Amino acid sequence: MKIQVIVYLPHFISWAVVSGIFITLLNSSGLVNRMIESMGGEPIRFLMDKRYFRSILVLTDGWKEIGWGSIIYIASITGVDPSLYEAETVDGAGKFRQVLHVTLPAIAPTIVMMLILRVSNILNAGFQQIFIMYNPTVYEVADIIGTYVYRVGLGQMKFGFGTAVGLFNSVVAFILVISCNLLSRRLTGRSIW
Amino acid sequence: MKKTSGEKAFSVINTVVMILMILSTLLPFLHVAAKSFSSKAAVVAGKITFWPVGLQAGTYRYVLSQAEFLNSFGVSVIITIVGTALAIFITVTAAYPLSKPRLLGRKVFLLTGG
Repeated sequence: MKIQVIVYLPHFISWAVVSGIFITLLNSSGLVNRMIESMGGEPIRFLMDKRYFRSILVLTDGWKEIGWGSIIYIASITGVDPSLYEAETVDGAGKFRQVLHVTLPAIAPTIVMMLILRVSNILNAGFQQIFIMYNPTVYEVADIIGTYVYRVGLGQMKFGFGTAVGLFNSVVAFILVISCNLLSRRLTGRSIW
Repeated sequence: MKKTSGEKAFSVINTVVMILMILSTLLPFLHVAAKSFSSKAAVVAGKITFWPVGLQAGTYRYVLSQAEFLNSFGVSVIITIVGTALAIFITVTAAYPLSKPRLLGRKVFLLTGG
């Protein structure tokens, strides 16, 4: 279980530090660019390039949260009754059939619960991470509602506008969670409340 | 029980993927840690990969001697302790009445109306 501990370590580090690490790795004289250069390539300004910026956001978020995100699924998979797998083996099912017919149905409630909890985060989309890592050259592809509201609402002192967009954001997230829960109750008979 | 060739292949691929995951998690930390212990000249010249060049610990001495750092560290600790205690107290005291069916408007609070 040591790998689990190592992989979820980054979750406990704040985005300020994680961004610092990746900015160090990815800047024009960073380790990644030195590797590219030593293989005879041109250095890439990853954090100032519209083509790469979003991929970097997704990859660093994955790097940070992959272990933490898997904990609940690991716990729920470990909780599956082993006798079900034995029964499936006796019935002549291979590993893939066992995953399909035992594991997935057994952890379906967990998947639904995690989905509903994640939906509320869709519009949030990692404000801290983007706010620390982006710069004016990539505003076009990096701006989310949160960062835009911060720049306009607090940066340009348009508090009314900022509040309105913030409220809009919350209302949309609220509607999303409610409807996701309702949909899940209708379709699968499972819901958080 | 004897392992089939498919199971053998699975455990080999599994081990390789796990090792790659461990490396991809630890190497960035190692790089930054190595940089923090290296001399300024080596950092500027870009000589560091995963092991410090020109060992020194002056950076840490500098950080620990900054009053601002110690102050912000203290604030972090206080906020964590007080914030956690308050959050637990408030959520527990909010959850208790919500668990009682006789609470007026319970369905509205929990969105379980209808």
